[in-house]
Amino acid sequence: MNTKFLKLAFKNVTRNMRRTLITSMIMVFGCIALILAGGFIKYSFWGLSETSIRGRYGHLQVFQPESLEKDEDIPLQYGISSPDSLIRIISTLNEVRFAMPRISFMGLISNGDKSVAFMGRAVNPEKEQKLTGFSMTMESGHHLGEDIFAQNEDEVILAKGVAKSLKAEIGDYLTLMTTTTTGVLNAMDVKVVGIFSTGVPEMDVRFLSVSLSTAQTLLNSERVSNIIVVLNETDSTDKVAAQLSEHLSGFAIKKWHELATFYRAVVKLYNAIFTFLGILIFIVVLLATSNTMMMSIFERTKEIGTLMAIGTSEKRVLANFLMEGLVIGLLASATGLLLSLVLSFVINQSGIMMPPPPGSTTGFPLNVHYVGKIYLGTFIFMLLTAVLSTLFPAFKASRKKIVDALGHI
Amino acid sequence: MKKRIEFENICKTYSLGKVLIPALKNINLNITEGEFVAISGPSGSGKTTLLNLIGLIDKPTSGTIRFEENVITYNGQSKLHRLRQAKIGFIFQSFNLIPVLNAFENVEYPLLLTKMSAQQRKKRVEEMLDEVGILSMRTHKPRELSGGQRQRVAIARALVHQPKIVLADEPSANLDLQTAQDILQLMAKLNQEENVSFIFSTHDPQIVKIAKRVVSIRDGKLVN
Repeated sequence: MNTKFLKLAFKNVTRNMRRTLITSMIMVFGCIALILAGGFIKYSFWGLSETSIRGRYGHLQVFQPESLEKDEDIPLQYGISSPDSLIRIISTLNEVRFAMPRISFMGLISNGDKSVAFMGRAVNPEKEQKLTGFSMTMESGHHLGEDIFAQNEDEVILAKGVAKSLKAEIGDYLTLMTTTTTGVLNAMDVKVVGIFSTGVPEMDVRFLSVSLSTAQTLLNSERVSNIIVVLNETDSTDKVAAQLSEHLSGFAIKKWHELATFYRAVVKLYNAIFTFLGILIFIVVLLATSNTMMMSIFERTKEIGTLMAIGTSEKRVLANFLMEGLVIGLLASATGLLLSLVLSFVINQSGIMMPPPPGSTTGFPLNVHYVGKIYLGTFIFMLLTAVLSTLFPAFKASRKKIVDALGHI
Repeated sequence: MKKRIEFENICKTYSLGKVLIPALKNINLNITEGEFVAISGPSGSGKTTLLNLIGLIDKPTSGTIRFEENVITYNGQSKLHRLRQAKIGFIFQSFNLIPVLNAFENVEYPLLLTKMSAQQRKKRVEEMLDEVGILSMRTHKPRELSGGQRQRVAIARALVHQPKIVLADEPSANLDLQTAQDILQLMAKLNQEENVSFIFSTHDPQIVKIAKRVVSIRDGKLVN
C-alpha cells in the first residue's frame, strides 16, 4: 500500500475537523461503554464465581453417580462410604489445595417451644473455614471447633434468620431432629456457638452447620454426601476434573459451574445485555460514521470526478474512502482504549459501592476488570464498524459518473 | 503526423425526463499529434460535451471514437481509466486542485497511480513545477495561491505523466485577461516543447487568436 494514500486519507479526515471530532467522540464513547461494561461484567462473573466456589461448591465435587440421578428414600442412601481413601487419592494431584467431605441433610431444629425446618451442612470445620470464610460473615460467636475449652459438646452455628426465629443466642442449647439412615427419628442436643449471615436472605432463614461427626452421629452413618475439592487456581478446574475422572472410576465428578445454576443464569443474562449493548453501539457508530462519510462525499463530489477524470480507478476511490473510515476508526478506538484505561483506574480507586444484587443483602464495590481480550475485541469491533459504515458511501462515490460529478455544484 | 483522436459521426443526446436534448450532432473530427486546437463557440453550443467525449469521460449516443486508431468500446471502465491515466491530461476551468494537498502533492497525484518510484516522482514533479514557474511555491496549498498560480499547478498536474493529449475546458475563464494570456502562452510553449496535443475550449476571441487551429461549434454542429 502506498503510504501517500494513507497520508491523503489523514489529510481528508482532518479537512472538516469539527465533524470528524463529533464522529470520533461517538466512537470513543462507544469504546468506553463497551470496555467498561465488559470489564464490570467480567468482574461480576469473577465475584459470582468466587462466591459460588468459596461459599458453596468448591471447584469440584465428587458424588456417587446415583445421588445425581435418583432421589434418596432415606438420608445418605447414595452417599460415599469411604471418603478418606478418596480424599487421599485426590490430594496426590499437584493442583489440589485440599479436599473435604460434606453431608447435606435436612430436619427440624427446636428450642423446646418452637421448631423450624432447616437445611444443614455437616463439615470438617478446619477445612471448611478455609473455603467458606470468604462468603460467610460471623455476626456473633465463633466458627465450629474454635472453642479450645469445649468439653466434647456437639456444636451448631446458625444462620441469623434461624437464630432469630428460635430466639437463640450464643451458648443456648437446641435440639436437632432428623431421620436416620435406618429410617427412625433421631434427636440430639447441640450448643449454639455462632450466628452468621450468608448474604442471601432465603438461606439465612433455613441454614445451619454442624461438624461432620455430629451429623454422622445424628444420622447414624459413616457415609458422606460428597467430597469437595478445592484447587489452587480456578483455571485448572477442567484439567483436574479430567484427571479425577481417570483416577476415580465409578464416581461422578462435577465442576462448580455445572452445579451453580444461578451463576449460569447470570452469565447468560449479562452476556445477552452485553450483546444488546454491542448492537446498540454498532448501530449508533454505523449511522454516525455513515453520515459523516456521506456528507464528506457529497461535499467532495466534484473532487471525486476530478480524480476519476485524471485516471483514478473506481477501486482506488473506494479504497481511499475506506481508508478514511479506517483512519477515523483507528484514532477513535485508540483514544477510546486509552480513556477506558484511565476511567477504569479511577473507578477502581473510587471505592464506590454498588447496591446489593437481587437475592443478596450486602452490596459490593464497583470494580472494572482490565481484560485484554475485551480491549482487543473492542478495538477490532470499532475498526470493522468504521470501515463497514464507510463501505456504502464509498461504494456510491466510486460509482459516480465522472461527467455528473464534475458538474456537481 | 500520428492521429490521436478521430470522431466519426458522433452524436450525443441528453434526456431530461421524457425530453431529449441533442448536444452534439454528427460530429466528424480528427486531432493529430502536437496540435494546438481551440474549440470555440457560445455557451451551450456543445464545447464541454465535445471535450468530455475526447477525454473519454463520457460516452457518445452514436458514432465511433478512435484513440490512436483503436476504437473505444466503453465496455470496461478499467481500460478507460488506464487510458486516461496514461495518455490524457485535464485542465479545468476552476482548477479542481485537491485542497488538502500542496502544489507538489497535487502535481504528484497522477504519478501515484503509476509504478514510478518516489525518487523518480520527485524529480519529475520538480521539473514540471519549474517548467510552469512555481517551483518556489511547491509547499503552498491551493488556497495560498492566486488564480493564475493555481492554473499553473493544474497545467503541471495535467502534463506530469507525459500524456499524448491535454484537454482544457475554458482554462482562462476564471482569470483576468493578462493572466489568461500568460497561461495560454505557457500552454503553447509546452505544446511545442513536449509535443503534446492541446485542445481547449473558449468563447473568448482574444484567447482563440493564440490557437493554431480553431474548431467552431454552434448548436452541436461543427462550423468551419
